[in-house]
Amino acid sequence: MLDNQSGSSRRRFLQGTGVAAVSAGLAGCSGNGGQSTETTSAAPTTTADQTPTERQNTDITEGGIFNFGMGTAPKGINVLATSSAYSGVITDQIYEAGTTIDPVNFGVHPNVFTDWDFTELDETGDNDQPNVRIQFNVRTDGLTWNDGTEFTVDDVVWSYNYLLEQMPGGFTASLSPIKSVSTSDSADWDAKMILNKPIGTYDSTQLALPILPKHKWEGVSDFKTYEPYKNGGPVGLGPGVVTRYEPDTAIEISYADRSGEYNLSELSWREEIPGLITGGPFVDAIRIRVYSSTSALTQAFFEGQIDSMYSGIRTSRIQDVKDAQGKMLIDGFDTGYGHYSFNLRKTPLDDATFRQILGFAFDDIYWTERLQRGYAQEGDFVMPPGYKAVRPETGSDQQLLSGPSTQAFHFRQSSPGVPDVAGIRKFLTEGKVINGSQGTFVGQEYPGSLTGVEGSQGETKHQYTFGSVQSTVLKESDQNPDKEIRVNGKTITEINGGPMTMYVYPAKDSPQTAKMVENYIGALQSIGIPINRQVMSFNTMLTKVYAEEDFDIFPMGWVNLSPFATNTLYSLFHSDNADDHSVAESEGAKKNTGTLLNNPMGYGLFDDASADELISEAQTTMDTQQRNQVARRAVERIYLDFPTMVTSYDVTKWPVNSADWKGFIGNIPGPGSTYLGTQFLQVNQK
Amino acid sequence: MTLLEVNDLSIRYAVDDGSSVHATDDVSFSVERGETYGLVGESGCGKTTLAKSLVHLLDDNGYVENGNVWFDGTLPQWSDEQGDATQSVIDDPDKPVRADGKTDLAALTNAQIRDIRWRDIAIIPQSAMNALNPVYKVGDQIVEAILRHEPETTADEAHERARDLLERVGIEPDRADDYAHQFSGGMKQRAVIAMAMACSPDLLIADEPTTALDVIIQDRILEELEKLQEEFGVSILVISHDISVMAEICDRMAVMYGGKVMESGPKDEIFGETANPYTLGLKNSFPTITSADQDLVSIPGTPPTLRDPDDGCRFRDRCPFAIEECHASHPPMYDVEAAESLGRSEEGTDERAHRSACYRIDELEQLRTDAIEESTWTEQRIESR
Amino acid sequence: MTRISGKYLAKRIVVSYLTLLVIMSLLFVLLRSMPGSFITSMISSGMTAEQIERIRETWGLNEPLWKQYVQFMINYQTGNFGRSPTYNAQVWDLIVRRMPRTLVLFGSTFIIGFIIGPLVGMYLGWWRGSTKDKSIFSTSLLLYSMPSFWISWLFIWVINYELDWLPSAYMFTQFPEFEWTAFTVMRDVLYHIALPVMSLTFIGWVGSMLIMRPTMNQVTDEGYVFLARAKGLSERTVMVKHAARNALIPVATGAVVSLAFLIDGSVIIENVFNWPGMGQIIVSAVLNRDFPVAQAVFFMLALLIVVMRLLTDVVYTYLDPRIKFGEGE
Repeated sequence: MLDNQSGSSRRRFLQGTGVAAVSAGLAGCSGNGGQSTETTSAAPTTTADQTPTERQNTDITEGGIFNFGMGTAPKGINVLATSSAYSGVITDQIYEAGTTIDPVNFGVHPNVFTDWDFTELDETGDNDQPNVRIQFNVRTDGLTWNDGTEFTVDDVVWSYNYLLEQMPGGFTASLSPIKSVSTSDSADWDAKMILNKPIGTYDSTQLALPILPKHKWEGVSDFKTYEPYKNGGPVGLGPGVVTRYEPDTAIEISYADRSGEYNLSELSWREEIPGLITGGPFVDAIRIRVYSSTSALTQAFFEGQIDSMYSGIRTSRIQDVKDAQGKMLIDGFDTGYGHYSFNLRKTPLDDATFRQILGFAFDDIYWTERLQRGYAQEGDFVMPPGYKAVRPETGSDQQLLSGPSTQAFHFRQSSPGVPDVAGIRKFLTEGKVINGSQGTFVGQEYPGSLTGVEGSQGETKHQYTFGSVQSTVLKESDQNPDKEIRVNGKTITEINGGPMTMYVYPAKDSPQTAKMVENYIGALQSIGIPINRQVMSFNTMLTKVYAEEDFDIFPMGWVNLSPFATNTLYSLFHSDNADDHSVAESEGAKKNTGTLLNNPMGYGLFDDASADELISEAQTTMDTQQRNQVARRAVERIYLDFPTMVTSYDVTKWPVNSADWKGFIGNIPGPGSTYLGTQFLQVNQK
Repeated sequence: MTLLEVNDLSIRYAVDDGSSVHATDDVSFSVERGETYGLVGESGCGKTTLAKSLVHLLDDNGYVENGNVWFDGTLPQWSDEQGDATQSVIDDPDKPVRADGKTDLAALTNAQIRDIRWRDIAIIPQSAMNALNPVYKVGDQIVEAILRHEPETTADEAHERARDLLERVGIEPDRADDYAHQFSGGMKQRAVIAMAMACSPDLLIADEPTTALDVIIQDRILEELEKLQEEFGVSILVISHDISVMAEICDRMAVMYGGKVMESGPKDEIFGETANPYTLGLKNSFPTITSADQDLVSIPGTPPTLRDPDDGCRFRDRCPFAIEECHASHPPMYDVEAAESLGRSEEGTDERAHRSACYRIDELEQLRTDAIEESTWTEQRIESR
Repeated sequence: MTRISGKYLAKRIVVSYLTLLVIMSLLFVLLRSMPGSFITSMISSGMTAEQIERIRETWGLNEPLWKQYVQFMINYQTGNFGRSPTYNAQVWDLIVRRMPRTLVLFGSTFIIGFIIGPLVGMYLGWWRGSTKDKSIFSTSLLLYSMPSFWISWLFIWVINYELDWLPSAYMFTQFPEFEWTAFTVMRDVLYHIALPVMSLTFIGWVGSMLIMRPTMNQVTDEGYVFLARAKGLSERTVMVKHAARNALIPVATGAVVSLAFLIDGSVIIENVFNWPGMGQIIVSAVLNRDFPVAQAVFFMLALLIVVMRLLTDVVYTYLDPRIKFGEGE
C-alpha cells in the first residue's frame, strides 16, 4: 500500500474539523525518520486507550462490495499530478511503493522492495555533506502490474528516473536529494540510489515513492496532462483496478477484476503487528459515492447507502452513531494539531516571557470539554499523541499528555474559568521564563524538561510594568482591567501604533473557534493586554499569514504530519521556511517572497528562538533511535520557546457499518483517512 | 318581411353592491329584410349594449332581464334544407322557435348562439380598426370565419373567397397575405366589413362604423355599406351617436336615451316631423345636410347613470319642456300621426310607425319652434341650478 | 417566418461578442481583486524558491497582471480555456462533462415551467377575479415566496425519504446492474431527474404565470378578442388562438430574465440534489481561487444568456409580426 502519509505529499485544507477550525494540511512533510518499533510501553492516557484493536476474527468470508462515501470529489487519479487526499483514497489502491509504514508502530517495512541498506560515501556532495548510497532488492516474484503485465527491476529504475526527470511538485521534497537511481553492479543488490546528503528517513521517503509502469508512462512527456483512466489505467502494483470512474459521482475499485498476482498483503511482517490482518483484500470491490455536501454524506451513512465515509463524523452526530443499531465508531488519533501562532517579528511577541503568558491565559478546559464536547485532547507538543516515538514523554516516566512537564503552559486560573491575573502579571513583572529548569511558575510546579533540553531564551528580553489604562480597546473592554501593561515603559498600542490583533474566521464558518477566541481575548484584556480581533475568511487569512506574514496571532491547524517528525519540524519550524523580513528590507525583495511559507512565525530566524540546529541534526542522523532522541529534544525546545501554542488534538471518530462488516483497525492516527488503505485491505463480511 | 323583432328587451348590468344598471328598458323595434335600421343616441344610452345583446356578446356582468329577440332564422341543426325551422322544432315547447319560424335568440344557450353569430348576424365592432388580430394575416382571419361556419369548404376555396371579398370592398386581393399593421385605417375598416360578409349574414350590425375616420373615408365606408346592401340584400343595423350618419344611410331609425327608445319610425318622418324634445336637442347638436349654416347647440347636462333609475321620464332632468307629469312615470310611445292630425295622445301600436315618448306630444308645433332657440336650452340649464 | 435581416443579425453578433469581451474583462478584474490565490494549495514546504517559481511560471502567475490579461483574452478567443489547478484537468473537459448535465436539468425545468406557467396564467388572466383565479393565484404567490431549496428538501423528505419512490441524487444509477442501451440510459435519467424537476417546477412556473396573467387580462379587452367571439369561435379558440398568442410576447422577455435566475438557483439546487453540474463547481472554484474554472463557468453563463437573447429576438418576430429587426437600416 502506498500509505497516505508515507510517500505522498497531499496537502489538505479542511474547514470546520473538530479541533482546528481550519486545518491547513502540509505538503511534503512525509517523514524522514526510521523504525520506531521501540515505542511500546507508553502509558495509556486518560482519554483513550492507545493499544490497537486486537485481531477479532480469523475466519474470513471473502466477497461483497464495500460502499464508501466522500463529501468531495477526487481531483483526478493521476498520482503524480494530484495532491488531493480524496484522490489518494483511489490511488492508494492502485500504486505501491518500495517500503510501507504500519499504522500501529510506524515501523518501516518491506513492500515492493524486499530489503535495503545504506553506505555513507567518502565523496562529498555540493552541500559539504557526504553522499549516501542506498542499495535495495526488488520483489518481482508473486507480483505483477494490475493489468497482468510482468513486473521487472527495470520498471523501478525507469520509474525513479522518470520522476527525477519530471520533478512533480508534490514529490519534490523527496526527489531533490536523489542524485541518481540505476541498476546495481553488485550481485547482492538489484538497484542503487545515490543521495547528496545523509537523510535519516530515506527508507520512508525516498524508498516510498510510487512506482509507475514503464509500459504505460513511457512516452508521456508532460505528466500533468496525462489521464490514466482514458489510457487503460491507472496501472500500478496495487491490489485494485479502477473499473468505474465518474469522478463527480461514482468510482469503483475492483479487487476481483485485477489481473495477475498480488502478494504484498501476505508479507510476514504484518503478522507481528497487532490489529493487522494478512491476506487481503477480502471484498470484491470498493464503491465510492461522491456527495455534494457533508450533510448529504452523513445522511447517506445513516440511511445505509454507504458503509462508511471519509475521515470521520462531525461531533454533533457522534451520539447518533452510538445510538444507531449496527453502526459503530472506530477511534483514532489526530495526525496533526490545532494551534494559535505568534509573529516573532513583533514586540513584545519576540520575548519568550510574553509568549508564555499567552499560554497561561488560554482556558484549555473550556475549549476541550465545553466547546469540543470532550472530543479533543488538551494540546502541548507539536507532535500528536499518536506519534509516540517523537513525543518528549517517551523515555521518561511521565504520562503521555498529562505529565507535569507537558502542563507548563496550562491555563492558570484563580477560580474556575477566570485567569489568575495577579499571578500572570507577577510572572511578567518579575521577568520569568520557563526555559527547561525546574521551578514554580504562577502557582504551578514544573519539574524540568523531559529531554533535558533548554529553551533558546534564558531570561526575559523586555521590562514589563503595569500602569493606568491608556489604550482605547482596554477602556472599552467589558473586562474593565484596572491596569495596562507597559513594555519598557511604553504601552503596546504606542509601540505598534495600535493594539495587538488576533485573526478569526466568521462565526458562521467555525462557531467554536469564534467563541474560544472571544473568551481568550477577554482573558488577555483582563490581564491588561490591549488586543482586538479581526474577522476574515479562511482564504484571506491564508494569504495574510502565510504569504505576507502580516499578523500578530492567528488560529489554524495542521493535519497529516509525519510520524517521524523530522521533515515536519523542518518545514514548520526551520528558518529555511520563514521569510526574513529584516533581510528583505535591507537587501531587496528577493528573500522576502510573496509565496506561502509554512513558518510564518519566523521561528528560527532569531538566536533567542530557534531549533534549527536540532532539526538539521535530526534530519541527517541515520540511526533511528538517535534520530528520534534528537527529534524529541527539538519538539521540546519548540514547546519551551512557544512560537506556537498547541491548543488541542482531535479525537477522531470514524463511523462504520458494523452490522455487515468487520476487520477495521482502531486506535491508529487517521483511521478513516490517513490509513484508509489499510482498512480497505482488511474489511470483510460478517 | 320582418327579419328581427325585438320585444320589450331589458338589459341589466349587475353591480357589486347589488344594484343594477338598466342599460335598456323595455326596448322594442323591428328590422325588415333588406332594410337599414339606425339606433342613435348619446354614448351610454344603451344602443351598443342593445346590439351586443342580440348575439350574447355582453360583458360578463350583463344579462337580459326580460324580452325576446325574434329572428327569422334558426340553428343549422334545427333547420330544413331551405334554412327554415322544421315543424318538429316549432312544435317542441322546449325550443324557442315560434310558429312563423322565428327563433328567440335571447333564449339560446351560449353554445347555440355561436352558430348564429356571423353566419346569420355579423357584427362590425365599434373599434373596427383594432378588431384585426395583429399576429395573423388578414386573409387568414377571414378564412377562419368561413371555415368555422362552413366546415365543408376547403381551405383553398375559403382563401379564394377571402380574396374575393377583399376585392369587393376595394382591397387588392394579394393584401390578404398582409398583417393588419400593414393596412391603413380605412383599409382595416373595409377588411372588417369584408370579413363580416364572409358568411353572407342576414343581418349586419355596424357599431359606429365611421367613428375615428376622417370625413372622406367616412363617406366611402357608408357607400360601401350601401353597396353591400344592394349586392347581398343584407339588413343593416347601424349604431351611431352621429345623427347625420343616420340621415345619410338609414331607412328607419330609433332614437335612444337612457336605455329607452324616445322616438322611432321612418327616417324621413323623424327628421321631417321630429316629435320628441330629445331628438330636437340632438338635431341641434349636429350639423345636418338640410341646414348647413345652423348654429350647433348641445344639450346641457349629462346623461343619467341608469343605476336603479326612478320611474320618471329619463330625459326630464335635461328637458326644457318637462312638466309635472314627466316626474311621475316615463311616457309611453305615442303615435305621432294621431297626435298631429287628431291632436290626441294615443299610444302607438304599430312598431313601424312614427312614435314618440313624450307627454307633450299634443303640443308638437310649440316644442319644435322653441327648440330651435338656443336660449331655450341654455336658460333652462340656469334655471335648473 | 423570421424577419431578421442578415445584416442585423451580423450586427447583433458583433455586439454580443463585444459584450462578452467586456464581461470577460470584468471577470478577470473581479476574480483577481479577491485576496488569495490557488497557488496556495500547490506549494509544499520542502520546495525551494526555484521550484515554487517554476510552479508560478507553469500557471502564468509570474507575468505582470496586464500580460496575464492579454494572454487570457487571446486564449479565450482561440477556445483555450486553460487547465484547472484544483480539478487538475482541462477546463474544457470539465465543461463538456458538466454542462450537459446542467442543461438537461435546467432545460427540462425551464421548458416545463414555461409550459405550465403561461398555461395557468392564461386561464387565470382569462377568468380574472373568479374564485378559481383568486384561490390559485394566492396559492401560487405563497409558493413563490418559499425558498426553492426548502421546497426541494420537502420533496426529498416526502417522496424520497418517506415514500422511497424516486431517488434524490445523481443523474444516473451510480453502479448500474442493467445493460447500457439508449433506452435504459434514457429511463435511468428520467428516473433520476424526476424529483429535482418536480421540486423545481413546483414553484418554477409561477414566475411566467405572473407575467402571463395580467397581459392576458389586458388582451381580453382588445377588439380582436371581441371580434373573434363575434365570429362564433368557441371560447377556447378565442382564448388560446387569439388572446394567449398575443399575451405571450412579454413572457418571452421574461424567459431570458428567468434564465439568469435559474442559473442562480442551480448553485443551490445542484448541491441539494447532488447533481454534478456547473452549479456545483461555481462556488468551490471561486472559494479556491480556481481562476481558470471560475472564468470559464461565468463565461459559459454569459454566453448562454447572450445566445438566449439573440434567440428571443427570433422568437419575438415569430410571435409578433409587427416586430422587425434590421429593416431599413
